[in-house]
Amino acid sequence: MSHELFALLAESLQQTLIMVSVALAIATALGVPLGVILNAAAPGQLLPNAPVYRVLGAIVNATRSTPFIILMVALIPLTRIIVGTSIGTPAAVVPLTIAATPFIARIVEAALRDVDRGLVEAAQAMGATPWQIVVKVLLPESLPATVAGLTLAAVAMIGYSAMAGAVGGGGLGDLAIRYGYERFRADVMAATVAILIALVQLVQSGGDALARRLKHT
Amino acid sequence: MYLDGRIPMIELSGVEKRFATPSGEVAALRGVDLRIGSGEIFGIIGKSGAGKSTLVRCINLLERPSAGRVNVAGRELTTLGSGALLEARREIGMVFQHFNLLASRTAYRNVALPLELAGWRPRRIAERVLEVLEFVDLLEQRDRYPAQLSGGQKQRVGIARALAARPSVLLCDEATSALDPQTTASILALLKRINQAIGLTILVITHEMGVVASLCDRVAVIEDGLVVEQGPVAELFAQPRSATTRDFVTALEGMGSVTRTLRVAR
Repeated sequence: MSHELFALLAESLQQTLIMVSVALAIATALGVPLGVILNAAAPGQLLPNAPVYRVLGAIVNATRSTPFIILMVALIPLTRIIVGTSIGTPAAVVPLTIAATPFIARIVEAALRDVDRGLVEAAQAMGATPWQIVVKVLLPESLPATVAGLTLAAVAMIGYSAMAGAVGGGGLGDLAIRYGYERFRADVMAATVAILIALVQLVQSGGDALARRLKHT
Repeated sequence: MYLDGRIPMIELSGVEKRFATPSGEVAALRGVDLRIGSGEIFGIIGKSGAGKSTLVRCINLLERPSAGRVNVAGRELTTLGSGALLEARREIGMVFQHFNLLASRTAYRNVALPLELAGWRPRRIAERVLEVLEFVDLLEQRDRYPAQLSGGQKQRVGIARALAARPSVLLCDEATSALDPQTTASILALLKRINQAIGLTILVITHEMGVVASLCDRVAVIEDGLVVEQGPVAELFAQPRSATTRDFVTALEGMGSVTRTLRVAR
């Protein structure tokens, strides 16, 4: 492998890692509370609220049904406001975050819903407030499922990040298109694909291991 | 009267509970009156669907009665606002059939949960948790997770958790129904020991007459949302008046004779 190719791969890998990890962190910070609200407001849950549930649910679904490549272009004005530019790795973080947030919200909502109702009942019998039930019971008990879901989200985001080249976001996907496809560099294409496969494997097995550890069986 | 003029620890008057279902309204409780004295172990027995679980949930208002009054430890729960109700629930420990322990917490931290919820200081929590864990003989298992405990151990954690905040009443909802006979006996012995050691009022919901016979002072038989018979356990055994009570007594005697037959056969 030539020195030049190695440098290119290293730089692109770094861009992908930055894009995905920053977007994942922000999307988790936004998606977890959103998932908690969706769960609590759902019919038959802690604080059922049909209007809140319907409006939030509709926004989440709308975002999730927009193809990422379109979302990315459609969000360019917003990206400019937030980052100051619509080109580059930081700019790609904005659409990635917005695509991942509703995904994570649904994951968290489902994970919380799967917590045994008996535990909620036990906490209520102890005089827990709805907030205490969320913080002390629902979130810790759903942590293994949430970690498994976040792993899923991270893998999906690695896939999305490959499209970030469309806004000049860089990353491995961009490298594969620019060198592997447009310049017929089969070696770059192969190396990129190999790195992506390894990266996804690493994320998946790391996530699985963590989820297993958190289960305390 | 058993209460001897004492103020009852639990008093239900005219408690009704109706549920709206797609096929119309269902009456789970149709006017239940009960007075349970301080320090008493009181049983409520009934077949599945009789309304036992609804009844016990009406005592800590996990289910709000559609009509009637619930008074626990001198407080009229049915009139309390939501904040005061949360406060009052801390006075009522509850033990569940399926334990309902948090899988994400060790035995120690499960017992600590009600104290954390009540805002106790960490040092007081530690003292109290170790004290109750010792009482239920689980000090050595304190760092294990529920998945690493046997059914009987899980239920002892459940009981320790229910006792942690020093409640004045303990509600047991089919607390031994998921356990084998030997473990059941040890849990019943533990409940008896708690009652004797601290004079705690215990309400036991069950569908097994054996539990009532070996644990309770008095019992109420519930059928189709109504108390059909109540009184001291020995009296009910000697002279069951309702058909349901006779069924329960016969079932128990039947089992007793089977065990005797087996013993003789051996």
